[in-house]
Amino acid sequence: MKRCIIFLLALLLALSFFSCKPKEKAVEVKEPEVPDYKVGIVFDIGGKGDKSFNDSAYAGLVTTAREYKGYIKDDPDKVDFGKNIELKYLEPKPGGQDREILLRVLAEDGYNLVIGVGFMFTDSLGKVAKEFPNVHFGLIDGWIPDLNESSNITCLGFAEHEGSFLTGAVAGLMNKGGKVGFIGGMDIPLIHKFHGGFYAGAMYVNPELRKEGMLLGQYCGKDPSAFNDPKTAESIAVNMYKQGATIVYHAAGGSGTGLFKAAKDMNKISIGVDSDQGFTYATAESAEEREIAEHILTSMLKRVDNAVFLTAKELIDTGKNTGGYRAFGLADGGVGYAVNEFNKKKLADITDQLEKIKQKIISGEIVVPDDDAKVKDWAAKTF
Amino acid sequence: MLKLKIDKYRLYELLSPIIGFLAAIIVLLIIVIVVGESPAKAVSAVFKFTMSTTARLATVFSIAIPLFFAGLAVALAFRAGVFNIGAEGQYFIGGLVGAMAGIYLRLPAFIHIPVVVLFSMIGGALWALIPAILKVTKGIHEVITTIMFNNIALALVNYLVNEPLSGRGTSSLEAQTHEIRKTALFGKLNNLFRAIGWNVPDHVYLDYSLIVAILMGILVWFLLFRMRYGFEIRSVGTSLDVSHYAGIRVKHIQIGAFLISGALAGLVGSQEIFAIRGFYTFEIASGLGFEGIAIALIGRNSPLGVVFSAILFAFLKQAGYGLQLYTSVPNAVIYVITGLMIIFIVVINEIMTRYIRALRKKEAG
Repeated sequence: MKRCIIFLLALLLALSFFSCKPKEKAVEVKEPEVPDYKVGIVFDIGGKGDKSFNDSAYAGLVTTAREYKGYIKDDPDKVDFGKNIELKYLEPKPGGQDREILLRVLAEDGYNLVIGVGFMFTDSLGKVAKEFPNVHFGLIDGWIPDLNESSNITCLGFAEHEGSFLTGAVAGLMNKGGKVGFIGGMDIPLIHKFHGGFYAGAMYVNPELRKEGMLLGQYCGKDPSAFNDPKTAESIAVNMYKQGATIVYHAAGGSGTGLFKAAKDMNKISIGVDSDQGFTYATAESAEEREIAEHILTSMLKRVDNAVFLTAKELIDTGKNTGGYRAFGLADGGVGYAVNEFNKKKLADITDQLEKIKQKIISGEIVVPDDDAKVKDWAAKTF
Repeated sequence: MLKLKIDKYRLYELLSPIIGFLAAIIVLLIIVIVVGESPAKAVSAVFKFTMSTTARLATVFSIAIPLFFAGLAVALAFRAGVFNIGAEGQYFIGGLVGAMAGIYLRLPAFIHIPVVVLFSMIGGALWALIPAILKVTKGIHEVITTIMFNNIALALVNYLVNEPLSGRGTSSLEAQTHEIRKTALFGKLNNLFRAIGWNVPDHVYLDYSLIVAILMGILVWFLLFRMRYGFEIRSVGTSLDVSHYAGIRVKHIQIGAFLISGALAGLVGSQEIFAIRGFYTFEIASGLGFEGIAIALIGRNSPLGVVFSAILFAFLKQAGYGLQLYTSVPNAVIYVITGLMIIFIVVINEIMTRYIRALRKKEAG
């Protein structure tokens, strides 16, 4: 029995060796339509349809396809404007442990630009980038030290605190006598940036909220699953609303759906993050989701789509990408707050005030604190 | 010993997993057609991604290494009639203990690497110790205790990596320990393979864990089939009462087998920790312990069979990525496909073996 298995294994191995060479040749035969550039994206946990970060990145792919006559390969929505640019996205397993494998898969398959959506790609992207010096990598939201212009990595960051300052101002202006809450995903410095900006914005426009205990803040957890844990977010939200919060903002990725559910159930107001979540819900197919949209006032927009599009644009226009760091803030449209046909009326009264604040941030008159720990000092200086 | 005449039934028996595999491919095709993708594209995606180049083939072998450890660990426990469902927790703890030895001990490389391997095994074995003792002394079923110990292990490493052992720098946002010392990192064997004409690119990890795997496979085979202790293990697994009657110290054997199984399981994470990542985190691939159960079953609990089934599982995993990259089959469906393929291989393999056994009996009269 044992020997037979050895024999069979040896045979299999031998066969696979023989089968290698001719097939390699077969692969080399080029298909009739070869795209000029191939851009690949690896989504983070949640994949396409997370109504947040990944969907925003996906929108960036669609814009790229539209502008440069490209197509998204194997996409169920059949985005196809031509064959000049091949775009492709991959989704990790629910736990997200195979991010590194997926990056490698794209790099190995000849993609010119590979983008990891989310800071969780930091470690794996740095490693894979070393293995493929001829492929350029984009890291959304993450930070890798010691990069320069000739590195094959670009860190695509955002000034989240600036955008959150505006949503904080929305919460402060719309809030009538209640408290204001913030729900974070994983307890990491990045999310504290949202936290700080939001608190500062709320305090800036509403003196009531400068008092002790009027601002509530809590995190879903300490490991990455905190970004995909709607149940915890929901119980935190319910708790905040019970404590007297009228508006709660989240920066918790996929966990945010828990906040929206709580807002709907308790007839309160919530603010979304990353993409225009109110719009996504308002245009959803199910009536239940459209009902949720009523309770999403606006969203802090992190224009991942802009980051993806601009990075792809750089590659297509110039033939290569510049390494290093790139941050997208209020000034270049990298962050903002969402106004759409559904919430336009609700925000009509405060739009002017928000625009003024926005200009003040762009001009540097308001310097937004980038951590909730710095809000106290900031408030002491400002008021 | 060398018999040139091969029993035809044995040949049939060997063919049964292959037939199971073919059936699984048919299942794949049916699902792919139902989803609305071209079956030819799916098959070419699978083969293109698993064996079209030496690099891809090497990747399959690389993925098979941790699966082999998991399968071997479970198989050895099965041989002694104990169900080690706890390989999952054992490798999380074993990996952590090994990583600690790699971080905090200062040794030259030629000692350090065997030491971290040893510590990984000790960690895994210690995590198996309490369920083993509870089983033989109090009769508490090991399935329950090991499953509970999996949860404890996960929570424990989560806490330890986040708090006391955290080495999270400013650059990394992932919770992780400090970097493992260079002397304890597993080097790659890629140059060696290149020397014998097999072009393995640098991003494929064929590292020292492959040597450890081969070594462990041989040791387990030697233990099971060439040593008295192994004979006793197999005898306890076949019949507890008979072994007891024959004077075998059943409890000793079961605890021993459980510990060896835990020690082998402790090595499951070694490739990822010492070769791929270079630090420890609770983010290392999870679920391999449970896959080890299926691998051991398909491999019929023999070290060589486990080699074969680990490679098969690695093939299926890679095939899933191939489908994701080259076809429009949705990700969720891919998990269904790989799951169904495993079931089909197990079931058809089992049916065929029984049928062959019946045929043989008939012939023997």
